[in-house]
Amino acid sequence: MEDSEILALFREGERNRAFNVIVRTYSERLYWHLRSIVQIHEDADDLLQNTWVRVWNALDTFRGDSGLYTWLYRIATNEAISFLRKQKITTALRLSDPSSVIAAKLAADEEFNGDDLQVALQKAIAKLPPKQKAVFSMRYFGDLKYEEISEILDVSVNSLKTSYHFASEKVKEYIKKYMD
Amino acid sequence: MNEKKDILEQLRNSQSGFSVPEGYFDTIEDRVREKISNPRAAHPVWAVAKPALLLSCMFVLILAIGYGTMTITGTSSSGETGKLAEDGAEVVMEQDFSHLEDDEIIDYLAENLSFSDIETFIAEEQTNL
Repeated sequence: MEDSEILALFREGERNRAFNVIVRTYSERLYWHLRSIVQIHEDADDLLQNTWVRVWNALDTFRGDSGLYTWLYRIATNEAISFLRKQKITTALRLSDPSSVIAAKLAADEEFNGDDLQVALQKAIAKLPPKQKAVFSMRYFGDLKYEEISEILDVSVNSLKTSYHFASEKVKEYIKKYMD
Repeated sequence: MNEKKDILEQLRNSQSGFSVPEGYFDTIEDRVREKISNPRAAHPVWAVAKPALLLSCMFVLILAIGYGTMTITGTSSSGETGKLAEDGAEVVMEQDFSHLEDDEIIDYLAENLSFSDIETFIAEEQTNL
C-alpha cells in the first residue's frame, strides 16, 4: 500500500487500520535505523516502541509537508538522540566512559556476534557525540543521501558533510589504532 | 584510495554481527498495540517540582564531576573549591528529592541541557580522568 493510500485511510476514519499498516510497513526499517545508532537490541526495541507511541499520538497532526517515511525517520531519530543524551548524562554522573559502557553491553548482547573489527567499529561509533553518531549511522549504514538526512534532522547539507567527515575520520583513526 | 578508507569500505561490506530474536518483527504490532493501551502514567509531583529541580540537578552534576576530579587527582577538599563544593552539597542535600526516580531526573536534564552543556561536562570529565 502506498503512503498516500495509508493516509487516505486514516483521514477516512480508519485510524487503527491505517496505523497498523504503517507499523507493519515501516517497523523493520525503523528498527535497523535505530539499532545502527544505539547499537544494543534492547535499547533499539524500546526506542522503536516509543517511536510508535509518539507516531500514534501525533498522526492527527501530520500534514504531509514531508513524506511519511521522512516524518517517521525524524521522530525515530529524535528519540534515539534524546536517548543517547540521557545515556551520556548517566555515564558522566557515574564517571564512566560511554564507549566502555557500550562495549560491555555489546559483549552481553545476545543479538550481537560481530568479529573483532566489527567490535572496534561499534566502539569507535560509541565515542561519537549523539548527533554526529546519528549522522554517521544514517550515511554509513543507512546509505541515505545528505539531502534526505538534511530533511530528517533539519540541518544544512554542508553541515552534514562536515559532520560526517569528522565522524568518519574519528572512526577510522580509532580502528587504525585498534589494529596496530 | 588510502588504507583508512579501505577499512571502512571493507567493514561496510562485511557482516555487521547484528541480529534480532527469532520472530521479532512478527510480534511488533501486538507489542506496540499493548504499549499504546498501557502508557506509563506521569508523576504528578514531577510537574510541580520541575523549575527548582533543574538548577539543583545541574549543581549536583557539576559537584559530582568536581568531586570525582578531586578524588581521582587527590586534591585536598580543604581549598576554596573544596569548601564551595561542600557548602553546595549541604544546600542540595537539604532538599528532599527522594520521591523522584533517577530516570525522571535524567530525563529532565536531557530535555533542558543543551548539547554544548553536555559536551562540556563530558569533555571536562574525560580530561580530568
